[in-house]
Amino acid sequence: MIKYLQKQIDEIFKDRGLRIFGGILALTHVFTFTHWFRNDFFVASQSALNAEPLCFPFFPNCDLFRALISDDAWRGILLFYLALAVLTFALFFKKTTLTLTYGLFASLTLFKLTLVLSNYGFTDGHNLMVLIASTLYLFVPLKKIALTGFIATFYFVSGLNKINFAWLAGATLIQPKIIGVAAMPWALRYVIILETVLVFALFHRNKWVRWSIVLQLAIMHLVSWPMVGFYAPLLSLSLLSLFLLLPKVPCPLHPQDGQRLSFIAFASLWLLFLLFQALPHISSNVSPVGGIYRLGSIEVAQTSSRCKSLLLSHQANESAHLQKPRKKLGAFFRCDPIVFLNQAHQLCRQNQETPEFKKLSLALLTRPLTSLTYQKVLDLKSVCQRDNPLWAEANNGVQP
Amino acid sequence: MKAYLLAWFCLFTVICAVIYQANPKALLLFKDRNVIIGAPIANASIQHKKLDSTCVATGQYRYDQERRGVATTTDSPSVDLKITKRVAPFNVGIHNASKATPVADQTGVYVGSDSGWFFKMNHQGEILWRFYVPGSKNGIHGSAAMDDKKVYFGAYNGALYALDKNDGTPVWTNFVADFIGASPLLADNGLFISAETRGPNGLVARMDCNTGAIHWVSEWLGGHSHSSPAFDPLTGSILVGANSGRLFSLDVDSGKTRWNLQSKGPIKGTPMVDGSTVYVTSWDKHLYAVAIQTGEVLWQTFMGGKLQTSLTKVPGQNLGLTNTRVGELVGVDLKTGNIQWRLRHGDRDHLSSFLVTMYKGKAIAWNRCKKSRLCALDAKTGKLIRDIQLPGTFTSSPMAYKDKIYISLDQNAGLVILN
Repeated sequence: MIKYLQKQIDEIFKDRGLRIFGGILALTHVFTFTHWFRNDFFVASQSALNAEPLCFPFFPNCDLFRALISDDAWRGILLFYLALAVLTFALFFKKTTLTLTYGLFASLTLFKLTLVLSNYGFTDGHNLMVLIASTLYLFVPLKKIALTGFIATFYFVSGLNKINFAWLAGATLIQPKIIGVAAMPWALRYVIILETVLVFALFHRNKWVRWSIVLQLAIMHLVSWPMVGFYAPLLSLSLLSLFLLLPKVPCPLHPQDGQRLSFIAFASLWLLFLLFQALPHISSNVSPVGGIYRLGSIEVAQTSSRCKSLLLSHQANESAHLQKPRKKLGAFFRCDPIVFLNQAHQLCRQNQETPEFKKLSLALLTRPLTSLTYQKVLDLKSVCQRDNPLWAEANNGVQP
Repeated sequence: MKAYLLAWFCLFTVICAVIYQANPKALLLFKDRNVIIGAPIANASIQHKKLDSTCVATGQYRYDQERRGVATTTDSPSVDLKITKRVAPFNVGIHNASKATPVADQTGVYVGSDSGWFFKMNHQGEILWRFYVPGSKNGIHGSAAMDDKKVYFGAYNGALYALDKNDGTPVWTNFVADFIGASPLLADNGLFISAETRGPNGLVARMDCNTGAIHWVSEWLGGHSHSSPAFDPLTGSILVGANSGRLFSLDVDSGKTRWNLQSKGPIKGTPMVDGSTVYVTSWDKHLYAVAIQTGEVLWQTFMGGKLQTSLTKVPGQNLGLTNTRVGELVGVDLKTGNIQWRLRHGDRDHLSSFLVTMYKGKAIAWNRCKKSRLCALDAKTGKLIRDIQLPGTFTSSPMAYKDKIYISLDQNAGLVILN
């Protein structure tokens, strides 16, 4: 094991481009810190005072764990995370502390993963991409092949996800001022071509061809900045920078002799990744609006959805259609069944000792912005009867 | 490298072809954007349990499908009423629109409030169950309709609810549009509702009263539809007004527009059907009598002020009652449109429609006069018979059941029962 890890360290620090890329990956944690620090988002999400906590289905009572830590302590944890990120970033430029740098970066990645898993509200397709890239960087041999192959695949999958009417009609976007109305449909179509076809020119032998694609992808991210904020474009640009750092980009489809075994490992991971991306689309005929099937998906261009939810609380002589979650969640969560199931789960827990409380039912209907028809995602007649309602979708979301 | 690029390009072309086959519009792009994205109505029905009922009204806003506002002969309170019960809290807001009017049958009294609570109470005013509606600061403004088993009402969160009259649990819910401020109509074995969308615009939908499924949706009404639909059984017409100033006649089976009539101000009141004529008030200060068959205006009368309430028919007489927003109660000859009597009370913020009851063979007209007073008038002459002080003002309409009158008051003054 140690030998294997030492090989990874050697591979990274032998290559200047990979070493700098490690620094950039460390820098993404500074971006994450900034994103979480703004408007006290991180502490407010983790706080015991958060009235609408969000948990992953496999950790349904995460808020009880979070409540053990005070707000000030969470603030301290966030600052510690920043300090660790800055230190790791700096050490990547010092050649004498290779093992320490590698260890710190691994710890930093694990630390962020732990924080993300403690709160479903931190879920983000870009976080997942950086996490995958960091894991490949740390533990997978043939790093240049694996990283470039996966980063190009991120674009390819993202491009495929955009082949829908909502994207083509511009429904998922706020009109960027620098692109005129007339140019917009062509720009949107071109983005799909860029991400699904031209992106493979990133592996072209000619560096000018490669760089021209990098430039176009960079422009795409910069244009998206005013619409989606700083975080997603900066993470994407960080990953994209790898193609500028490598003087020659190896073609993932042409492994050299002696690399076959590593290549098979990489290809298996790649196929597994693609399977996770396909899962939201093949798991149900309902527009992928989130939920458990999206947990491994990097879908970042959200298909705008509309949803209608009906959470009904039944007590003796009193029923109430309860307000949907008030939390100002982005498009990523707007119609996410896990968010609604979390709300129901909290209410079940709060009411388990209330004698008047009879049951809680939850229905969720969604439709893509471009369709007129709503489809049933959840229809649970008695949510509290389930041991863990957050997995409700796995049973077609329908409870007789 | 070229071979790989070519392979990817072919793959991409195949994917596009598949998507195009599945949905040709997917590649049409911008020109249809507004059509596709501007969803006219949210038909999102959720069935909670099965409870089939007759779909025949046992009570609804303005009493009957023609919306005449006349209590049945058994509902005949005397004029010597006093407050016997006050249920509070009730309406809490000051939104300047008519609040929900109670409806009643032998099972109890049903009414919603702008706080979002919908209540069932017994005839003595004790609450039997209640149901909460979230999602809008305006809560419930529309009155309910009910058949033998279910009670139906819309809310400003855009949902139409069908509740089990027994225990208040939902039978079905349909998210019809963005807002519902009007009252549902039970007629022709169907349920009809005016609903509103952001824009602003409005429409009428016919629904299955047992499942909540939408059978048809009318054309756009051109403005919000605060006006509740009325039904003419002779021609099979649904009649409804809109803030666009238009009065629509819709085919009850298909929802297709038979005719529409443009007035010069929003039509917010509910049309009243009597014989072959529909009567409707408008903010253009006119009362209109329109032939239901043709849409021809038979007469129009200038009333001197904006009209927002519905006309009430006095039984056995060619007389209709309404009130203006310049503080007058008015009796109008329904044949000619001539004003028969006027009672000036000076209360300008007047949004309540008349209730007419029969007492000792005489038609009694009940309505608000001055801010917090309920008046009983001789419907024929407009002469004031009785004037009762209430604990607060009201914008709903009085409702009579047996020997009692129920009034839902505004601004936290509660619901009062007079006996």
